[in-house]
Amino acid sequence: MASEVNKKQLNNTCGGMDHKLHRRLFLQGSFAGAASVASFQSLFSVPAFAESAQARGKRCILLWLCGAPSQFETWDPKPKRPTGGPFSSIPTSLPGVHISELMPKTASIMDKLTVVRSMSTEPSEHFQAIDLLTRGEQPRPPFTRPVMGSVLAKYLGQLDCPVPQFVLLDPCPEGNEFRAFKASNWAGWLGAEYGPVRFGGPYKLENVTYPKGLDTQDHSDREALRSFLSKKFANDHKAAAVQSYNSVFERVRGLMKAAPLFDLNSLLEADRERYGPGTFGMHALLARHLIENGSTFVMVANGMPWDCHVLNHETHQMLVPELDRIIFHLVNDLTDRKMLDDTLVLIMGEFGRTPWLNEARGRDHYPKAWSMAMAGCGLKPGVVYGATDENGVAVSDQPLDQRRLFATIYKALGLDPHMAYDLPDFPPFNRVEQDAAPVDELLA
Amino acid sequence: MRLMLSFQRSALLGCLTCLCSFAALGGEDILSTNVTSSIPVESNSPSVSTAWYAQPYGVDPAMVIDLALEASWRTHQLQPTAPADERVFLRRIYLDLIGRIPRPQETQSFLADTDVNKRILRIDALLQSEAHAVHLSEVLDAILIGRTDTEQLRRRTAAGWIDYLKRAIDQNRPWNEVARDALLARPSSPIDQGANWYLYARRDKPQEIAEAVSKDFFGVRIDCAQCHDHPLASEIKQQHYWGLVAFFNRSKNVDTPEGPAVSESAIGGFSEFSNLEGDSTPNELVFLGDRRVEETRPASGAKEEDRDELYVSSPGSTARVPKFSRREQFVERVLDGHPLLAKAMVNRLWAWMMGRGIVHPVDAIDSYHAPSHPELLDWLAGDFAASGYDVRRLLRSLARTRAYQLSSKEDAFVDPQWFSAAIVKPLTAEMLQRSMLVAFDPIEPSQWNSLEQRVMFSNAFPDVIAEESISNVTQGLLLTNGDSVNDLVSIKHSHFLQTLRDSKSSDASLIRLLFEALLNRPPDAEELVRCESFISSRPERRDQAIESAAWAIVSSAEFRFNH
Amino acid sequence: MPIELEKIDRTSFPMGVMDLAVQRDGRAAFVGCMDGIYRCEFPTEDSPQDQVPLPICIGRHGSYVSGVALHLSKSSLISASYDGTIQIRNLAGDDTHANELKSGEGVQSVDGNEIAPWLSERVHGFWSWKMALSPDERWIASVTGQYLAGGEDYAPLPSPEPTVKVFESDTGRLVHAFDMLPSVQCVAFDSKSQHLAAGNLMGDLAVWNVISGEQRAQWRTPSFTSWGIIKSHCFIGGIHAIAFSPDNASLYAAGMGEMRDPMAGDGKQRWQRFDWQKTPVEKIQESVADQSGEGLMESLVFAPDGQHFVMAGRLRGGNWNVAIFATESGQLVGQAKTGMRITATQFSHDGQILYLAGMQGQPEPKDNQFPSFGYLERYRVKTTG
Repeated sequence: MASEVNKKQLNNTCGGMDHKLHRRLFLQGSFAGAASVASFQSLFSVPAFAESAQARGKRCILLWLCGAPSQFETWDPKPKRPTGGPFSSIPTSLPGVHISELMPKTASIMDKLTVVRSMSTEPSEHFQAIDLLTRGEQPRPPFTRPVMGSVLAKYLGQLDCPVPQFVLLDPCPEGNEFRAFKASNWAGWLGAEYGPVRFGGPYKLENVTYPKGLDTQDHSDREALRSFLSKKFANDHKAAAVQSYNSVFERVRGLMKAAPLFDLNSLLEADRERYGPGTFGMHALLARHLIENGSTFVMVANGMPWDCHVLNHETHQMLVPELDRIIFHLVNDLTDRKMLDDTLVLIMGEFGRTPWLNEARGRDHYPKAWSMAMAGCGLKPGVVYGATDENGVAVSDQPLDQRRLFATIYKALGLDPHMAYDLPDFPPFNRVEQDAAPVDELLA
Repeated sequence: MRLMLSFQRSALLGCLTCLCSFAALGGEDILSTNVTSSIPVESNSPSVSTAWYAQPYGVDPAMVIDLALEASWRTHQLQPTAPADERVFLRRIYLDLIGRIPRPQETQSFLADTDVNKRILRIDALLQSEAHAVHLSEVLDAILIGRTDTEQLRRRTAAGWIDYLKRAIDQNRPWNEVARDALLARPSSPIDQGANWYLYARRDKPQEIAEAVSKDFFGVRIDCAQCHDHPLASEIKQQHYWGLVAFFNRSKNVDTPEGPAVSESAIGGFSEFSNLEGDSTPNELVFLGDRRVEETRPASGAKEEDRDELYVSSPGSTARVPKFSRREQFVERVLDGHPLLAKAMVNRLWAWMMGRGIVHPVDAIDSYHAPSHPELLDWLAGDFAASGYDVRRLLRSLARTRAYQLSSKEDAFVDPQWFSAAIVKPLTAEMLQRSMLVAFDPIEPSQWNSLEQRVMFSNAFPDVIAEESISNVTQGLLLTNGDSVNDLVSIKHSHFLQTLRDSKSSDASLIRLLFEALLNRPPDAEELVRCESFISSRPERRDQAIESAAWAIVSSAEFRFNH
Repeated sequence: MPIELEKIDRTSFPMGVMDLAVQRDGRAAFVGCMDGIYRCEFPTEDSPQDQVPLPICIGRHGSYVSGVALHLSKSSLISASYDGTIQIRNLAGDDTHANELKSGEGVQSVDGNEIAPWLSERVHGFWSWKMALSPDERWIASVTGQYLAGGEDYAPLPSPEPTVKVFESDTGRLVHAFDMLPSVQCVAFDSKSQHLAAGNLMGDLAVWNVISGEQRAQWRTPSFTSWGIIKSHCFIGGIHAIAFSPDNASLYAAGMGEMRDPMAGDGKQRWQRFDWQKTPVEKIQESVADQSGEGLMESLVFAPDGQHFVMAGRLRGGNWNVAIFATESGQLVGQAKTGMRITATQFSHDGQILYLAGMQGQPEPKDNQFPSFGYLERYRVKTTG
């Protein structure tokens, strides 16, 4: 557990009397026993001041294209090539740059995007690749590296803000490898309080009103006592399971307050029409809404629909236009709200898809040469980085692995990509390993 | 690597001698020696050889476990935690073996007991109780069939499945027989009819059956071998997936006057599976470890004819039994004596008691997931088979080990795979619910132990031996604001809280009683002061203060976990 | 009576074959491929083994060629493509239509063996999924429709343009435009060229009168469509082939059965037969479950004598990917495994030869060259027993 202790800055969303009251009550519970104070420090730890001053207020939306979309049908079309598939390409607002004809709206705002066409990674199975592209490193048991969302929630977010700092929106409870990944420990060594709040589909927020007979004060006092007892136990039971359990109670009050934010029906009808009607669009809109109201990292997933081992083109004809519309509206909305400068939008899956078609009209897993896109905060807009060869079989220019991608993303968000974690009893770990350098060409 | 025949008495005693001398010496000079490596090493790849379990039966597994773990602690320079005190031990064993916390009077009588063997005696008493059978049947049901809705739980119960499990545990039926009952689904006596539900619950979906059978009885997830050989564990082939499917693809659910049953056809079920490249292969009857059953395949395109003489069962019977039954072949020639059958159950029960499998997660006994103590797992699997798949003996052995009885308190992070401290385990939904009921003693119990409540709880807390226990905000919100929890923890509905309130005892003794009843221990000074002031500072709302204090304890991590 | 399929030969094409039109004399065939329209001559019995004629590309579209049909009376070839265009080429070599060539979309530069189309017209905003020529050669029908999310559950959004279109084959003039929910994936005429039927992703089927344009029947079968509950909340599958029975009284639909995980592609190989003239339409027969394996079925055609029909597609699991069924009983009477996914089938005029077209998975390039993966196979249809 990192042990920095520091002053707390409050932004407008999380400030105010109510916040202070919440904090007071919380402290009342936790500081009652002096013996347990030491272990609570991390709860209020914030990043080193210099970094925080620079990075505070920055946030990130990840459109997680789980299952892995085809680069040929999105960012890196190869029309008329044997690998090109049936779709053609169209020009974009960037002279000389073409993308798939399935993305006309996005083509019109390519000058706001930052696209990488030369991703090249190792794992070719979903679970391992999802793990790699969310955490940034291969696993090294028994140590669990936090996913990017947890890192951002901790180093950019504010733990005692009632709005959850890290939200996963996903309507699909199933999902093979993604389900298995969702069941894994996301926050890793940062501690469960930096894990995601999950919402979408069957994950409704229930039990968000006070039990009958308890007023706000009673409810808080009771929780303070619970927290005191529980943390005493956690003091000499360091298991992640215990941490995880305690951390959910720390979120209860915030969630009760933030619950209306999750009500899709409260969003403007006109907005819902632009983003919807599919759940992916609705959740992308909700992500915008949450970011506007104080969340730091929102990951929008939609099951793992992109894993098109069968009927690749027949499925991409539907999925890509939806994605096209979502990117267009999200980036434009953030621009209109003057939020794009502080908000990083990431659009990616865990790898790409094969240049060649399988017998079932599908494209299979392909980590060797694939594409991803970004927009906003700290990035140079209108850049297309790297290239693949004429058939999209291999990266022909400026290959990029996940380490340099993560370094670039962290730097864009104002975080030191190579910060060393302070983890007693652990071997040394850095935010990004092996001193992988951020890509200057991508950074503003 | 194959299991070696050398794994016989002389070799085993050699190992034990070695371990014993190691334990006795314990000197710095051999700290760096990996003594356990002198035990015949077997990789965890599923494999078969004849008479693999022919090894002595009678050596105390608890001793072998202690020796092996102690050796590994030394090897990794780990200091095990102190032994758990009597209260902690008692709570732990009650939760693990009968699924609830001990009542205060049970704790008191245990503490007052002066018999030196009282821990073992209590373990044995719990293992032989009906509560144990009820509890373990719930655990096995959740593992073998899974969480469900009220309607399905009602059907599952009506079909006799839960009763079957309960009786099997109560009578300590050998695990291989239980596996056989479930997979053959041809009860030799009507009383075992409930075992049919294992297959029946899969609603005629042979792929679902195959995926479940492999996970539940062999400890191997084969799901991803559906489309190709397992990419990470090369011994798991696509032909094993489709082979296992074939063993069950002639089966069909039928409803008989005796209850749900699974009929089997004598023909059909021949097909080919294709990999991602489009190559197709016949689905022969073969499973992990290359256990294979020969069967004549009809010529391509030839039409098989279904005739009465192909069946043992009388013409017209609903649950048909063919002369050549693929299910029977599976049970006789694949399941019987398969090394993974014992290994999977040993690993699972180990995980149940110790908080983590020797192979972790428990259903990944493949070459990609290395066991933490491979030799020990092999030895225990062999011993389990040699003991006649004696589940109770294994649980008893595990409960008696030093590792099981260690304290769970640790100062710093320690890799859990070495079991040098007891691992905290989340209570299952049933354990949590039952413990709350035992503590609060509701005035109308039916309101809280109804089917609906059970299902609500089990869906909110679905995990049973999860790979990692991760709580979610839904659970936090349920425990904090949910009606059922808040109602139960109320003076209006709880005998226990009513008695407390009416006892006119001091706030301090009231707090002590709360702690004894819920956490099985007295409060420490700090807790006492904190809780006492919580109640005394609310004289005008004393009832609510008592309820809130009780809620704070019951929703604390200490109650949530078995530690 | 059992039927045996005996393989005669196989012709390779650079890329996958999507449709097929065999000359009436059986000497040559035209195929629609992913990369263009090809003509191939079949080897004769006395042609030497090593002199198999190579297929020749005679024209291209802007995308996959999804449909080809021979207009015999005009000696022309009609083709349709995923670029949304229909093209017509004169095969007789006369230049009757040369002056009529419109500078429509999809026309490529013509070189070598390529024949310039005299008509090239963009008829759909999205793919032409399938195209059919009426038996009397008067009408061309083409179906389209892009599947776009139309609801929270990803049910298809209604198409802004008609998805079923009928044209005059002589002129290319549009005569009917019908609406059907996207994506409309198959189309067929009855033997009298009176009725037209189409089927879509959601299992909708409809029959129209070709002359009047009146819709005669419309119904939905749920048996071919999957909704992904495992990985993806969207629809996959639908009806991929339809055919009228020889007496035109029934309509057959083919595809694959429901899947729990649509990405597995493991739905049952399936056909269903409907009495479409009944109100409401009634399902009267369907493939027997234990005679089917798994995999998408993409073609269903009747033998000339009407006694049998063939259904073909992909082998995902099971014993065959092409099977012959007795029309009356619906029982499987012959089967074969071709080692490729079949997209189109056709019987020879006399019913003695069965042509199967399709593709294998596209192989990885070797020495920067992509090996061929499209195939056309000929089988002798032999009645045995």
